[in-house]
Amino acid sequence: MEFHTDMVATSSISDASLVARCRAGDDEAWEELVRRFSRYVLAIAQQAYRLSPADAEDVFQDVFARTYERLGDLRNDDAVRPWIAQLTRRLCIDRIRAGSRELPDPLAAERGADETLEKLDEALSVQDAMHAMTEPCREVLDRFFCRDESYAVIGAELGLPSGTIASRISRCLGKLRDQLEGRRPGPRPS
Amino acid sequence: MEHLLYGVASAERTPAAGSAAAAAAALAAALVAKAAQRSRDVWPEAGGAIAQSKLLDTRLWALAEELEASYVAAIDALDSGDPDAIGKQLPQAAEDALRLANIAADVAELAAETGQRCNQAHHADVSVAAELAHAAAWSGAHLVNVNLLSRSGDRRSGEARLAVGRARASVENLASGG
Repeated sequence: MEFHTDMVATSSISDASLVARCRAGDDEAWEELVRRFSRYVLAIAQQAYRLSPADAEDVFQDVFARTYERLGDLRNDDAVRPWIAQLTRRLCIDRIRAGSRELPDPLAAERGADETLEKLDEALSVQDAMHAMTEPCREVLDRFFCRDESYAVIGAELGLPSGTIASRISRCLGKLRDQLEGRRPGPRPS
Repeated sequence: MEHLLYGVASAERTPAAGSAAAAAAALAAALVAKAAQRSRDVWPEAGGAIAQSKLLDTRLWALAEELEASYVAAIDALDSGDPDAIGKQLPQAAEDALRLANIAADVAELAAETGQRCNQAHHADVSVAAELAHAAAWSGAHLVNVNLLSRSGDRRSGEARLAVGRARASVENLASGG
């Protein structure tokens, strides 16, 4: 029996599998890796280091060029996210120094970047956990927490009594929490 | 809350009825959160109710600001006598009041759900929460009608009635021990 691994949707595979496929020269996996981490890299550059959109774009290009060159150095494939985060941070600082800008208070700036990065990581973890949930749960949580819909609107859209929506959301939040707890603590970059 | 009470009792135009009703619904959401917090030992999904009540609370305080702004704009439009301004500002005020009715009805439904699952020592808290939320939903529906200048048959008026019905059903559900 022949397995066609390239037929597996890249968007649903784990970070570690994605890295392994990138290393094997799978173009589709590279596209997915860039897609998966592009917003993360840009958010670090623009939110944590307050780079201009043009500088952030340059950092973005550098990050993925170096990721392409050095992915073989990564010892723990599960740690690709913190590895990319560290690379992005270093390149952001290089960019600030190259522009002859001084970090006003380097320690405070790094602390601020740490806090922003923590929030970004948390948001990304929630997003990953949401992706791992069943469609009905994902939909009900997205409608209530992200789209600000009322129980009545959610119930009408899903064909359910509005009085049952609150309990459904609680149940799905419990599953989301289980997903998140199963993911912690995250791997360290290697 | 104390600041709101001083403001409502003052001679200023705002805060007024919209904020008072939103605050009542926010208090209801807080009571739901308390009942859920104190029921974690018997209700594994209590955290879900707490998260929902916090989000509804956030929506209510944000809406209170919008209600006051649309109320002031509506009064200014009526004072000006400009039909274009009246035609624009009053429907906006009605939309905001409808959102109040809907969020308050959500709080009442969350109270009913919590009443079924929580430690029954806190049933009175969620019953009061549902009553407060029902009052807020009714207030929202009333403000919808006021801002529509009592035009019957308007979509918003019908939707507001449905929201009040949801809130009332939650109160009855809790009263019957359901």
